[in-house]
Amino acid sequence: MEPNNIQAYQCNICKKLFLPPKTICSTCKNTETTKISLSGHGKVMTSTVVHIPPNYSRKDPPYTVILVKLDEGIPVMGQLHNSSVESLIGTNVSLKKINEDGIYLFDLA
Amino acid sequence: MSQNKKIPMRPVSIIGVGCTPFGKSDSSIIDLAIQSSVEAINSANVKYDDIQSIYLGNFVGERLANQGSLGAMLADRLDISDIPATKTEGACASGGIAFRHAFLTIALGLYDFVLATGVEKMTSSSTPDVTAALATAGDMEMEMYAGLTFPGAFAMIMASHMQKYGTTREQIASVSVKNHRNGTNNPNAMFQKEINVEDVITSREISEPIRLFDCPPISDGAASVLLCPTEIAKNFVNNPVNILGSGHASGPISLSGMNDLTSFSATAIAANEAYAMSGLRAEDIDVIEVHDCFSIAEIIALEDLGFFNKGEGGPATESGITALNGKYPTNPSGGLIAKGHPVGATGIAQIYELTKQLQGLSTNQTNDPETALAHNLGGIGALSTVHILGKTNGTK
Repeated sequence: MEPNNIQAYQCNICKKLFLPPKTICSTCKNTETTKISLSGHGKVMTSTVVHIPPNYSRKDPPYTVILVKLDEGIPVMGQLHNSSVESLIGTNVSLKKINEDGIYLFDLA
Repeated sequence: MSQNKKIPMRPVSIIGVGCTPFGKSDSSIIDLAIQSSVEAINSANVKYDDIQSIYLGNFVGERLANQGSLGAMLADRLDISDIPATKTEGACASGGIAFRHAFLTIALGLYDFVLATGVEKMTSSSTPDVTAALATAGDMEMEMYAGLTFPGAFAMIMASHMQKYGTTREQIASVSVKNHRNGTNNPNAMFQKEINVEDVITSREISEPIRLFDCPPISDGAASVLLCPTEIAKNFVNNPVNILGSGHASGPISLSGMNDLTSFSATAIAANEAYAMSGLRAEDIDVIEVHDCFSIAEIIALEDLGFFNKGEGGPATESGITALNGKYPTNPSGGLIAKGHPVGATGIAQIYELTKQLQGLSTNQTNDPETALAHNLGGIGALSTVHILGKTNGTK
């Protein structure tokens, strides 16, 4: 069963967070990391409404893709759950769920 | 990191160029590559057996044209199959990398005659398949599988630029209007019809705020150059063009890795390497080809290359500074947006146009340029190549 929260990797020595995982901590060069769960709360850095989807998407267009800076400082790509809204930059969002394709679905907070 | 200055480098020149028409072609991917290669070899007045190495830029040939081994295949079809032939892949900058390696292997004394060809065949595939293939230039697992497309990624960057600097929709559309105007005089361009700002901002939604006329068309095409040491270039042609600087850098592959969503660090780093090698600065450049994979990308490229301060690229474009008769004529070929963007060919097609400009032979000739700059961008800023060219006997 997949966890229903966003997982990042934390350097065991300096506690820096990574997503995607890195083999070496860019700060202290340590190679030991631990998986930790993030809050799922954050702010939209930028967004787009996709009208022409790729063949790997199962979602009917239009749908909104958002880049979210989580409260822990990690940016993640996800979708806005069940709505397509323009001009979302700066809006607060929180994770609703991770769908069966592993996509992070956010709601307006 | 710049090149090791302790290694002596020979000056290198372009003695031949070739380019197919860009658009929907009946030719196979290898036939396109042969067509531009033969034009470059013949215009350089060299014999096929003189060529010692081939670099071939291609991004998605295996996927969209069902053909790999393109480097060796080109050597074989040109009947020079004993020589090394290397395919370079760097998404939409695959051609720029091929050109740089051709330059470096001559500059470092390894070879005297090297062919660089870029090619792509895209129109036989469906739009969803092309969209999926191009998306592989980004980080599939971390970002693209969230439903993001390549235009979607640049739409996010466009939204950020508008938010951060107040760049207007009309300013961004003016890039596309200018490049379509330039395309009307380029017989190799896929689009040869003028459009206006209204046409751009009311065209079909692709990924908001990017619309159809902010994008280059899916196209087929190939371009080639033949290089040799400058000291023997005039034995072959009377108007060689000199390569004054070369830069190549990587950057974050994903949006989440970018420190600033309105700038591509790889462009600035590659440009600094090329400027340092040439001893020139942005203000010394007379004509420019940049990687306008979307209209916003031209604005960001001109800012990252140092032609304008951050945030000033939009107003500068709208005011005509980048038009053919402006201070910094940009994309006289029509750019990717009007000429077409067969991705592996694009970096070499830029060199083709700038060589013609410096020889005074372009169909969109700017006013007696002595220096030129080509900027090729791969992926969502994952890599960039920058080259600076100079006219023979130029004074700069």
